[in-house]
Amino acid sequence: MTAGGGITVRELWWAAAGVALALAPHVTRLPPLLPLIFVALLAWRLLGAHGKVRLPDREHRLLWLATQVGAVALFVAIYARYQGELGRDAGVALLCGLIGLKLLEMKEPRDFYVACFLAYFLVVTNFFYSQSIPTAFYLLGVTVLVTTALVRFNSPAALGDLACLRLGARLVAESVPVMVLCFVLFPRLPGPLWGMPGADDSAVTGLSDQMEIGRIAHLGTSDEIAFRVAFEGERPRARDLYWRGPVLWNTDGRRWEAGSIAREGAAAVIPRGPRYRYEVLLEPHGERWLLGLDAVTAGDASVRSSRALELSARQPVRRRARYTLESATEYSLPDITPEERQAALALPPGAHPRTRELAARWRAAAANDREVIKRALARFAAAPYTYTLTPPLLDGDPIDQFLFDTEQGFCEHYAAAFVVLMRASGIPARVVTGYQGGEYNGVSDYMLVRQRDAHAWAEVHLPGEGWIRIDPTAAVAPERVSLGIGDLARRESALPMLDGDSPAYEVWRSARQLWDAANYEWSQWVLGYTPQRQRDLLARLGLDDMGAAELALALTGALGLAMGGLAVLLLRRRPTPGTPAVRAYAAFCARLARVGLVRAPHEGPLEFAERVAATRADLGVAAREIARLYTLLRYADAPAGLEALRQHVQSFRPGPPSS
Amino acid sequence: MDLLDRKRVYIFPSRAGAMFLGVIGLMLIGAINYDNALAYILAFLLVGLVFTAMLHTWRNLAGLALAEVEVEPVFAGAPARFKFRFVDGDQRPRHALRLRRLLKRRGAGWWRPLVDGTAECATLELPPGQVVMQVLTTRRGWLSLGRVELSSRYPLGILRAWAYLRQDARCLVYPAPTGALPLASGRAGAGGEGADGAGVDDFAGLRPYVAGDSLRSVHWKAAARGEALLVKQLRGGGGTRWLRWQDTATLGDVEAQLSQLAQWILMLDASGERYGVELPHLVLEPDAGPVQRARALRALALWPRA
Repeated sequence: MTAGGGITVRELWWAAAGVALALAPHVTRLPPLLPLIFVALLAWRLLGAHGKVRLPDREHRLLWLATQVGAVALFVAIYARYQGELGRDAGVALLCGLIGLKLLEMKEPRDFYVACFLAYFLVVTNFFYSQSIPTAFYLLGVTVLVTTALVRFNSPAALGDLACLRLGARLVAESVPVMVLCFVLFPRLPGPLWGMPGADDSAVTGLSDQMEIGRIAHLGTSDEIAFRVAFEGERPRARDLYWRGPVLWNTDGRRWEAGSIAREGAAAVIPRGPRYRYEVLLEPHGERWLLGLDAVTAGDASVRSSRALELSARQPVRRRARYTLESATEYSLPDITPEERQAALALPPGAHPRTRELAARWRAAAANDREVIKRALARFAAAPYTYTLTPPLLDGDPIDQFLFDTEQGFCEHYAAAFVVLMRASGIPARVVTGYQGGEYNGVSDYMLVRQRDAHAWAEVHLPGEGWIRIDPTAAVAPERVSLGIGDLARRESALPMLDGDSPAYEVWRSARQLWDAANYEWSQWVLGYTPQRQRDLLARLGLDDMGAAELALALTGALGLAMGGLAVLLLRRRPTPGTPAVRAYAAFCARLARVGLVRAPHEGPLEFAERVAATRADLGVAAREIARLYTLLRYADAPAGLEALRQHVQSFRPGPPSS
Repeated sequence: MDLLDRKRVYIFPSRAGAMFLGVIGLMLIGAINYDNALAYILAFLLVGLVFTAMLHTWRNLAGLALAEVEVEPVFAGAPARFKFRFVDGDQRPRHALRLRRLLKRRGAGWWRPLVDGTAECATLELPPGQVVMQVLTTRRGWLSLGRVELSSRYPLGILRAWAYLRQDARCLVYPAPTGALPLASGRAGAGGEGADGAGVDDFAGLRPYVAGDSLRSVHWKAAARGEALLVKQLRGGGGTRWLRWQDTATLGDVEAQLSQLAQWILMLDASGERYGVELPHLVLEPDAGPVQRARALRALALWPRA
């Protein structure tokens, strides 16, 4: 049964399946009506192909006209929906409408090809939304399906659908070597060719350059990945894993923010002890700051550093960023400007009266700054203060309320309260946000830091010592720093199945590590294959200093080799079954076939030998002898002469015809 | 034997293939602009697909050999059936083959496909490895097949491989057997030899079989006894008929005259009579059977054109 024109129903189904599955991941991203329209168009086409409903042919003029009007209306609606802006979303919507209509009007072979090629294109548009491993493999399957539709269309009807599918999969599989070569060697052009899509593509998660009590509680349980770190040599101790983010100076009593303090200029870090070199792979967060192990001593040219040791990128991080840093976990940071001192002592007038009173009492009793700090930490470590991820709401003066009434909180509460206490006692202090801890992945040797590892701590400036990190949370809940928040959260959630020590939990944990390692390698080698990485890889292969022209040349050469290999594989003759004599004779016939003498199926060996002798006198003697030996071996009562036959065939090398 | 070795199979993207290359180009531009690794990968996978399909399409033809082209003579107006018989040294199934006659454009250096004379072959079954191409015939005489192109787009349709088959097959086209004149009663032979001419009526004896004798006249009873094949000789009561050019002279037109003669030959052959043909400058001695029929029709087919 044909579906109109030269397209059969079976071919139509294959193409429809490919298109529909390529479109499926888009469904939630499209305006809700569009997928419904698409399904309706597809159903119409398929029912029409089966003869159940009428298709909009030109012969049914009214119906045809109606679909034309409908098509125009659809495109106008899409245009209006996206306000004429042809971005990624609008492009996909347009493609979806286009492909639905193309399937409906599909008639000629040309239409079938257009539909299949549009389906390939639809596959690509999916990658602009997600490049995860499952997406990649799903769409690889769809690619096989679309290829199968093409195979189905070009194969005789007698070839089964399964055979077509097998051939489609085989064609795709055989294309992989070329794909890999092109991927590795194709000259990579840095930067976009035209304007990048808007900022709509990366949801901002994680840290923020503001802090308001209660904001990080939400992150405390987020398993999302913040960044990964691969150390070149040794890893620092777990308790030194402070990943520095934005530094907050200004407060209105409740909110903390960076403020307008001058950031330009290098921070004078004096490293002590070992340095660590590492590469950070940062997930996109839509802001410009970067994270580094406290304290960063050196970094890539692309990484900028502020006076407060905050790292930032030139552009907001909208795709995975990769940069290399060097840090020392033991260091001193002595420098402070008068402006900074002023900012690090400022408190909103009239705020936190009870806290100020407490600080004044400590100040009066203490001999020096160190002692004030000790008292503050001792207060947090003492009984009523508890560390919790679900603290009560603070509706009055948050610092006073937290310090004297609720006495429950997490890192933000402690860091903010501590800094307020220090400033009230005349010690310059600031809040540092970032991440603390990280999970080491032994599979691929890197450290994984999740959003829930977000943390806040304090830094105070002491005369003669400089800026010193004080983590008041560590005083309240030392295990928050030593264990990491993940284990802590698990303890609090009290899920008996996923008890921290149970074997089930261990299995789950190692499976997750394995999966994350796969994701890491995926982003390292597939998604993050940048011009830089290409140069590194080529250098490792001993092909350094290759320009685009040399790369193209290498690519051509490698492609030639790959194709040669594939050709050998494809054109290899199947091993001839049968006895050694039959095989030897088959080899003889194959050699003759190559010079244009093909044995006809009805020709006996002797007859064939005579024909060979008649056409090519130079081969006559050998051919007759081989035919004689072969006939003897196969049909004589006492077969003999296999070795002779083999030798004759071995030395039988017909040259091209002399004429 | 005409082997399609690797030098004789050409390959080039089809129109769909050109479109496909365009799609790959667009994908690459998208991949570069958005710096999207998986878009690169898909574009490169499709590039790979072009290469892979190239090998598959090419190998669908390569290694095939045209053993012979057989064709039976036909009457003008009936399709000539050219039977292409292929043999395959590689013993691979060949799919979606297409044979096309090409005609050289007068004065131009290129060939164009003829509307008439194509054959599609879903899968070449080996053996028999046979593809039949039907060519409509209009005029008597030799119908030369001319240049024939074997092509295939299997498996993806984005590439077309083709080869020109070396053959010089031609089909003998008899004049169309038409005419309204009654059969002339030319019993008296031109040479007056009707007396001993073999006929269909009376048994006259046996003679050894020679190839071309009508199977109806074989003495099967003797053959069944294990004796040599003998042919019953009959002495026709009416003797021989002569089909003469001048009997059709009233038609005026040479082609019409030849057609009339062809029709008479068929009528006489069907009834098993002996007949001779007399054309200007050509006389066919009377005889009966398929050999005589073929000889007579051939003479008519190749009669010089007016």
